[in-house]
Amino acid sequence: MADRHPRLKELKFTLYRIFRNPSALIGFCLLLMFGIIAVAAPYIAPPKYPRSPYVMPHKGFSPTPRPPSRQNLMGTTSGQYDIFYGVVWGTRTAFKIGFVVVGIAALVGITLGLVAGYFGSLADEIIMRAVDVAFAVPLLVLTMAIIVAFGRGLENVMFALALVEWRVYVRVMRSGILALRDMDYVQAAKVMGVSHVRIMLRHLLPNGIYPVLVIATMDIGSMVITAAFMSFLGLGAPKGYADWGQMVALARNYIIGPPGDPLKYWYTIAFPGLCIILFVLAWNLIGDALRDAFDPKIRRG
Amino acid sequence: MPKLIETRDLVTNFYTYEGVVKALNKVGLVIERGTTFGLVGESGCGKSVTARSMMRVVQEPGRIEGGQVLFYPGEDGQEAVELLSQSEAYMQSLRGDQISMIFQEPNAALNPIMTIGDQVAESFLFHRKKEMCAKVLEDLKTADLPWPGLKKLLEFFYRRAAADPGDRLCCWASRTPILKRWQQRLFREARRRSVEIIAALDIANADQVVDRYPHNLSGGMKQRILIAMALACEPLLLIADEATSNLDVTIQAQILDLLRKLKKKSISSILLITHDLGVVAETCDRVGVMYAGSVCEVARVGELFRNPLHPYTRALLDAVPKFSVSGQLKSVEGNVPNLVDPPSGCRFHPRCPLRRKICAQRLPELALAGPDHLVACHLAGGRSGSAQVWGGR
Amino acid sequence: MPADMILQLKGLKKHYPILGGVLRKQINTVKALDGIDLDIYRGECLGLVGESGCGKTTTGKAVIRLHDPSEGSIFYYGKEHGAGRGVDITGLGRRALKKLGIRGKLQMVFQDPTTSLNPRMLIKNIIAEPIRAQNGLGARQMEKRVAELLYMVGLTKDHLLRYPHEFSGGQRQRIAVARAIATDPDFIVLDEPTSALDVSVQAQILNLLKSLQDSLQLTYLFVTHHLLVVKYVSNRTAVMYLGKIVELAPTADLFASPFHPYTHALLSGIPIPDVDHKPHRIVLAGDVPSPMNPPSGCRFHTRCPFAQEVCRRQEPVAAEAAPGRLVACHRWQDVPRLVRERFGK
Repeated sequence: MADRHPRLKELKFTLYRIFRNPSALIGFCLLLMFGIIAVAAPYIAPPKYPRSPYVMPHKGFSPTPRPPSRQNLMGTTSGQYDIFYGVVWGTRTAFKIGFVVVGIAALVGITLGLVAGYFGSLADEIIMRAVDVAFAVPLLVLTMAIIVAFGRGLENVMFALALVEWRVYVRVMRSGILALRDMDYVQAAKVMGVSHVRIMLRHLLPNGIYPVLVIATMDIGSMVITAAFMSFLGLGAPKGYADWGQMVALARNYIIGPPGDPLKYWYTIAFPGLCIILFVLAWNLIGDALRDAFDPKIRRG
Repeated sequence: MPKLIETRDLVTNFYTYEGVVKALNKVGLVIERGTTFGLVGESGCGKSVTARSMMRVVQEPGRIEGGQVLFYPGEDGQEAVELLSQSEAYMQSLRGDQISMIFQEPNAALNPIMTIGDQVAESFLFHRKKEMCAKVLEDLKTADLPWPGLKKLLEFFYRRAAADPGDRLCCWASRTPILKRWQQRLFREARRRSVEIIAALDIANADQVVDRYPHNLSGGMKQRILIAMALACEPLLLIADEATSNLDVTIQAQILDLLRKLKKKSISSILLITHDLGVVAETCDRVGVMYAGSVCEVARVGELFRNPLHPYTRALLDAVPKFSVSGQLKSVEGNVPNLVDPPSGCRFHPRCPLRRKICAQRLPELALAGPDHLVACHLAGGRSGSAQVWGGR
Repeated sequence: MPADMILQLKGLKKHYPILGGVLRKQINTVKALDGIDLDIYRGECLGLVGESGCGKTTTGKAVIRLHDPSEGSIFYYGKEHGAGRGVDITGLGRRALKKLGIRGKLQMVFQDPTTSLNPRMLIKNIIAEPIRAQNGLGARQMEKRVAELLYMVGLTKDHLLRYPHEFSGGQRQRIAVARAIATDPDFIVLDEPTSALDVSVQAQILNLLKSLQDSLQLTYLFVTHHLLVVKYVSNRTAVMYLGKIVELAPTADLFASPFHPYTHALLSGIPIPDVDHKPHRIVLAGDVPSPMNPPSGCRFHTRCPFAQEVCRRQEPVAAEAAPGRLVACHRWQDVPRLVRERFGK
């Protein structure tokens, strides 16, 4: 035991804490599945147009969906887009949305939160008032404004989401730092003449980042939902883009079939809808397990 | 003196990631009626766990895995109740009533959004409802009420409650608007008793203090209130877990003074858990010394301080700064062992200056080494290190 | 007693404003320190005792410039600045302190090693941090220095690659001490270094601190509420009450014949681990008043058993009761007699 590197031991302990929770296991299995699909997308569903793989291939323009067949494993949705292809490549889109939005938002939020919490006084006042203003901005209006200004596209939706989402991270990070700022080891570092940047990076960040990680994990799921919602409204990805939200939007008129056979077009909504649900669920389960694992009260229980 | 509570071979383990922490290793203690028993030892030696095991309030992930806790509620100390096999409901009726506990941190033990009076009264309302209802019933006979029907109604409720504190009808009535006002007299009685008990603890203007909130009070005052709550139902045993450790010297002096006075007034026994040998010397009658989950020595306080037999007790007494001596402090080398993997045999042997071969092999048991003096050591003898094996154990 | 001073505090005050209302106006002040004058001599260990909230930790932190005092000044007489030439470090900023090389000379050991060591740093990095902050060393030299420091506090190289939670309380405090002496300081504030430790370990740490003081020629300010510990380690002792020093004396004299009634009460309040000792306890009534509005006159008069009219009106000034002994009490000459009469000591 002793000869192994302590960081490895620490990692093992953290993993133990996480996987002691059965819901984390389910979450990670789901995520693994999505991950494999995303990575292997070119093999599972070879793109028709190699230059732009995210564009869903379609044969014809008939608005009536077609049921699953040998050619279209999950059937086609309105516009004859292949659902199977959309679901597979939509996994990549989902990861892209989640990681990019949360990545940018968390990076900005953590930095500002650290600065606000550590320095306090004027810096704190300025940053937190900016956050208050950001909280007052309605997401939908902002997105519409950005779409109007920069044109329709997934990038712009992600940009808009990141522009709104950072505010949460600032608050969480700041409150964590406020509690840590007066810890003795931070005071000790000050006495030793350690620079502000180093105190923030070595002492405050590693100890205060856990609540942010938990939120970020859960946020990845909710960002995908929000982006899907935007796509559903027609603010997101351009038509034909492999995006789950887009596919649900395409199925909008076929959620309920003709009278007498309400479940006729079930496949149009079920597959992309299920993907969204499972994807979000996976992240939430993991986030929940992380929350338990990082609970400082039961760290060495 | 008759026994009050006794533990026999108590074993409590904590199941953690690092392994099973063997917190208590066959702890056997006897606390007699009307005495103050001090339990000393270093942090992590299991003194708090012993007390918690007695009351069956061991925190997660701990489990009591063996032994007995015998409680003798009768005056003569004959009939014993084995607490570990009792139901949780029985334990609840016992805690706070016959056995009560004061904790180290008064801020954590008091609810910040309840007034002091309500918190003290809670204990009465839980354990003494029957008695108080009878008292109210008594008072009602002479009470002047606006109309006779009300008196009838109140008497009806109080009679039911006095017969059975958990009466369904009364419980239902206490949740119904208007009807729930039947309890007012009961609350008034509980409050009266709270004021009484708080006043008994040398607190000036107790009738004002009951209406305050914990944050209005100072640390020493809060600790007194906790003592008041613990003493509310006149317990047979009061467990004080490091009750004075967080207080300042001058406040600690007040609290110790108070405990001493209380002991003179009532017969309740006190189990004083502390790491401060000074506190023990001043307040206790008998002392138990614990090390790494086992009891090493139990004796009367004078005997223990004058003639400590266990090497750990001696080391501990030598390590304490004293008033009259100066110069180098003698320290106990080494550290407290990790209880996941405790040393074999006597748990103190790796740090013991007198260790022999046998110490690493066999766990010594508590045995009589003198009048009323129990020691768990394979060797016991003169102070100068000329240890001699006694009793051929 | 060594004659050359290392630190001098002059009229040190620390007031915390209390803001209230919508406009965040100052509605009150907490007077944590209210005029502290103290000379600390090179090579001594000065004990600073008092109850919680009396300002002893604040003093300690102000001396090493962890807090900014609101008023007063702190002079540092470093060896490299020449004998008798003090530097006023009160107004110096972080950078200036570092540049003058003072930052590494004034260090601190905190009360609870569980909170003073970053739980997510390896011991190696914890001890190396102050050296890195002052003057970088090469990787190999650094390793050597850290190992040497660990050896000095009684730990070994095997402990380098571990996290703080793997150690016992005593070992952690040793690590904290190693970190404090890493920059080769002159002066260390010891803020209750043993009160979070067990009795048997406390003696180890106290002995370690004593031997380090001898070998490294350190000066200590030993802040504690535990009087008996002070008796073991310090040469002189200052007693604080509500932000003021009420008595300052060589430790032996203070314990043998205290002048201030508060010192009497403190000393008599210590539980003695000796069954043959019969305590003549002076139990003070009431609690320490709030430092927000301290009592007028002598701050101790509300609890003092010998308070007179003058105590309520006039604040006593520190008087030299004997060579090297200061006491701030109107009636210090009568106190020993009064205590004897009232409490039969």
